[in-house]
Amino acid sequence: MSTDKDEGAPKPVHQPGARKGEEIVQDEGKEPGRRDTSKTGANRPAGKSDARDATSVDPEAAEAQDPKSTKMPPA
Amino acid sequence: MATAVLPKREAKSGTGKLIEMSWDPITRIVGSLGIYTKIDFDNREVAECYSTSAIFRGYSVFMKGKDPRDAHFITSRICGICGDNHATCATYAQNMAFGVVPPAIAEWIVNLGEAAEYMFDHNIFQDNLVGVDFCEQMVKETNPGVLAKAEKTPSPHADLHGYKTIADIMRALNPFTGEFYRETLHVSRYTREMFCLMEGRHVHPSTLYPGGVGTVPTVQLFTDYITRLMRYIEFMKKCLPLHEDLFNFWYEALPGYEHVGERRILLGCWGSFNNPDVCDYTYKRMDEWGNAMYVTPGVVVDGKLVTTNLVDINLNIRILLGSSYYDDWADSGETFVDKDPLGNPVDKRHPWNQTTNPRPQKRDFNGNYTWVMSPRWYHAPEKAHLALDTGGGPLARFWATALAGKVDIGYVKATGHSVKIYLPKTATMGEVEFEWKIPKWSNAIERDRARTYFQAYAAACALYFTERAMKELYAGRTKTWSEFTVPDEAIGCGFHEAVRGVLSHHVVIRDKKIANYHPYPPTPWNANPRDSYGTPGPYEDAVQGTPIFEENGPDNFKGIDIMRTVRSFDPCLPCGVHMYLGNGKTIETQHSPMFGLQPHG
Repeated sequence: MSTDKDEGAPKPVHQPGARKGEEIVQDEGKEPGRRDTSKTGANRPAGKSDARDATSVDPEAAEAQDPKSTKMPPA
Repeated sequence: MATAVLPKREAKSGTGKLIEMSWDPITRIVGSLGIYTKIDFDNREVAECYSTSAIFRGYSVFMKGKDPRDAHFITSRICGICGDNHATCATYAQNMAFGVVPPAIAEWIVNLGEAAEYMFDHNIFQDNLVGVDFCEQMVKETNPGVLAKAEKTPSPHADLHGYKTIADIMRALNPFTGEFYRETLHVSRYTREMFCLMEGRHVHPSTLYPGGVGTVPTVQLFTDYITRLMRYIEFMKKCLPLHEDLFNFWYEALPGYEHVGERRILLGCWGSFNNPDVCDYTYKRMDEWGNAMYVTPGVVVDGKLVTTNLVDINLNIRILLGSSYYDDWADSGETFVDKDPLGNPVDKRHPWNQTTNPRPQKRDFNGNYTWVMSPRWYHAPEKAHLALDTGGGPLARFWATALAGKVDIGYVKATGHSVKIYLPKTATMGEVEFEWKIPKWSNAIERDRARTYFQAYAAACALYFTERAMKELYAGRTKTWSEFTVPDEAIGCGFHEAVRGVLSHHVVIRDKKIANYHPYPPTPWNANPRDSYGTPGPYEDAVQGTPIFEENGPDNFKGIDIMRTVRSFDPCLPCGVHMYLGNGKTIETQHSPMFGLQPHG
């Protein structure tokens, strides 16, 4: 955070070398709210997501009435 | 403007006086297609034709060393009209190389995007550009006798499309003022919206990746697509009968017109719309999953289907240099792939082993005259390198799909001799069944006719794909992307149908980087020059020998029959055409398919 006492050019905001999606998944695992299910068709991976994925809200922390409730993907 | 001189040769008949006439450039695609001809006006026939391109692009050169994950983003820029076909084909090749399989819903989304692309691109080309070659203004200037006949000829399907006479149809196709011309401009807008719903951006997709898509599958996504799709289906119920009336009239009004653009039936289709129930992107099962595509891959020789096996199709591709501006690599170039994953030998002139050695030089129709190489398909029984064409895309797709008789998904059905298309009830029209039947000829009119039918075919397939995608959605299977790693070494190939025909991408990966990459779009298959064996390319072959029906003489000749021939192959979008006569005389009139904004009537 800059203050009146800072001197010189502002520090760069951009961080070079953004990681690729597949690298993030390898390092940190899946995003919360997503899970793999059994494969379909020609060995096709399949996966489902829940309200955590759709809303970013952790239903357990938020004490949802039914954390496992089904949901439709966001419009 | 053309400055080249054609070689001095005698006319075939030896009796007619030959006049050189050329159109360069003939399309607005990067590549600057030029058609150079000698016309025998005494015998009303094109005696010779040369197809040339003046621009070197070099994707195969600068792809080397790139991260293979970028292949679809880079190769998408090959084309400004069907870039998504390249992106899709590149992801197919990457899927094979990376060993990754997208979730089923991702495949349906890609199929829906590509179906929208066919609906859009065929629509705008057929009715805003090809249609202009058949519009009232053009026919008045080239064949006034035909227009007079059209005024008196009732349209057989007037009750469906509303145009009482064939001349009324022609008037509706007049650029900018014609009712149907303007309606199709609007259609091209919402079909592009359909595409963007699935692939993010037209024409360079932003949500297409190896391993899947970034599109978020929602009920609203598919509903937005379907509402536009049903409008398109309603439009097709009018559009298809309109074109049937127009094209059938041409045969009736000008007996012999079937020979315009006619060539031997040599068609290639590399298949489209993968089936995620069968396709796992492995090379070893490529025959199986290729045959499960919703447009069947195939090679048709003299009306017979000689293969539907993508492995056969792949291994018999040969890139000949012929009359192009390149140095040969057969003796000096590196062999990247000596055997395919099934152990079959891979030819040195196969795209996996191609090395591009550009050698700029002066155009010489007795020697080298184009930047387009000559792709050929080796047919072992004939021991011949066949100059396959794509039939502008739809003709080959239908011919292969019809003969194979494999596709049967309710909305479309291949019968072995035809393809049936069922379109459901729409806002104001009842359900209909169309049937594309194998024609007698591979010619200009049949290439154009097949295009309209394929618009309906793509729409019908899209109905099925939407149902399958929503089935995945309702089951909650919303994952659209699979993780993968880039291997140190791998090979891959993708087979697809660009709007105007066969498309393949071949990649070789070493040290996680691209070591060799060769895309082969439809236009090199169609627009290529005489090959190393002297065999002319399909444009050349189709134009050579074409009869001239235009009523104008050499002084005000527009070359409409030649234009219809070349445009029937859908050489992307035609634009301003400059006309050149031999001996340095240049006709300064520009022949624009849009007629600018000149008043006419």
